[in-house]
Amino acid sequence: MADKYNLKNPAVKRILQEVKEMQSNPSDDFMSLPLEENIFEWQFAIRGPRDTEFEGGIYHGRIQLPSEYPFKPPSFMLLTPNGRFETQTKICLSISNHHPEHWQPSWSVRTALVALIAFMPTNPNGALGSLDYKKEERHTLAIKSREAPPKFGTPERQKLIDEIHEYMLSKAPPVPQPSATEASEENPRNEEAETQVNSPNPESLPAGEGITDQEVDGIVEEQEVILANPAGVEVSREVQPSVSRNEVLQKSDTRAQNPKPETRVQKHDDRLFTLAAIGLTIAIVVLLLKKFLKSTQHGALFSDGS
Amino acid sequence: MTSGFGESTRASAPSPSCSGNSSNDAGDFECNICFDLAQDPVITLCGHLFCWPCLYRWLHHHSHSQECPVCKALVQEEKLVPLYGRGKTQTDPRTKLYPGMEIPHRPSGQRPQTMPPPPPPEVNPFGSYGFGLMGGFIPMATARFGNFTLSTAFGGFIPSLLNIHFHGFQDATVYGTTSGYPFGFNGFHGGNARGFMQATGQVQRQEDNVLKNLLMLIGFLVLLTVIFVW
Repeated sequence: MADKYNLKNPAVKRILQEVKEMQSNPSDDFMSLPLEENIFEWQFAIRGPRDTEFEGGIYHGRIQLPSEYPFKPPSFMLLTPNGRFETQTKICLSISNHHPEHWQPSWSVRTALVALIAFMPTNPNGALGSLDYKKEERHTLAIKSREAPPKFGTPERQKLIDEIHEYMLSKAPPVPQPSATEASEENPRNEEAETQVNSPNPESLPAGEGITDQEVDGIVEEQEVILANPAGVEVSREVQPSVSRNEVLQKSDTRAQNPKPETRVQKHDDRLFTLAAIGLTIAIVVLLLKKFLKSTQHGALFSDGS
Repeated sequence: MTSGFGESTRASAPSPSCSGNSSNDAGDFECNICFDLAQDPVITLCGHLFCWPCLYRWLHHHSHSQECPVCKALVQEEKLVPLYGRGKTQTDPRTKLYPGMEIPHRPSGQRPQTMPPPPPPEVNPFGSYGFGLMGGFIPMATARFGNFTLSTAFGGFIPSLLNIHFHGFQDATVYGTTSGYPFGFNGFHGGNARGFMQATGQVQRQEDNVLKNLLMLIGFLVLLTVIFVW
């Protein structure tokens, strides 16, 4: 796969590096793969966030990376109807090319997909490419999203979409089904979901099948951070600098060197000053005496004249 | 091509050992922008590692402000710290990250001052001062002024010395006689004078300069007094 692409291009090298990381550390919440013919075109699928009306849904999308990636942000487009973002339209986020001034070159496709999952339960506030469907409609769309992947693009791209869909079906648990016998249980769940979405610190429910506790904690923490701040990726990244700053402070403390000041006492310097002062005093006294004597003589001359 | 492939192989090697762990240990020395082993690595004050070409391109061509690509802290180029390993500097243009760009050299590290060396053993002050004495006229004058200062310590001789000195300004012959008098003192207090001089060799010269200025001032005042008599 690497032989096909121009390794001298820094964007290509970076994208290949991301593909390797995606394949070596797969996630249960999303999957993304580039096209064989064009590595700057990616297909992705994300799973709806837990404890929301999107839970269990599998939403497909497309990512276009710029030629100057990672110095320019990519653009995102969702293909599955979801009730939060429009389909076949580039969505406006702080991680997309609508706001290149907010983009950070240290972000990647992985961080963007995590942020996208976290943005789904948020209030759109009329952002470009956003929708504000009711919860029931979103829930219906989530159920429908699992039945079949969307139809989009060339046969090669469709094949990739189908492959991703199969992977997500095997990973994501099904949508919680409301039934007559569980109607009473479903209502308190909805209430809990509402309170958790509104509260700044939602509590995580017991983990589902195939999901480790670490991933649950990590995702929940990121959600909390992102709910508080739309640019959640920045906030999550800021945890590391504080630690590194502490290390820097420790290093600076160890490196601090306080050389002792050298105090030199010159004993004979005082003697010289004393002698100089005495000499000056004596000279002044002598001059005053001389002046007094001469003034007396002048007085005598004056008296002789009169 | 070969080196690039080698780097990619090296990067993927630790993956199997980290299959169960989400954190990748090999990423400790990877650039935060190109996700590859850092070339010409530099570290910001906030502790983030980058290739110098990647960071330069971000700061000078894409970023709207001087911000860290990871945490948006202020980045000042003069405060970047380069990392020097044991590897040789790559001058091969084929391995450059951005072949078409002209990227300057990395900012140099801020090297603290070397620790001052231990003080040298005591130099023989008598020898250095003796050498000074054997010099030209100036050291002779210095010694003479020193002796003159020493002579002022004796109260009994001060009036006579000062009077002779004042008259000396009118007649050169008397000045010659006066200059001979300090030599007598030097002979009488040779040992003490030498010891006194050795202790404060350098400061003595400064004091002599001050005394010269004082004597000039006194001479000027004497001239004014003489004019007043006229």
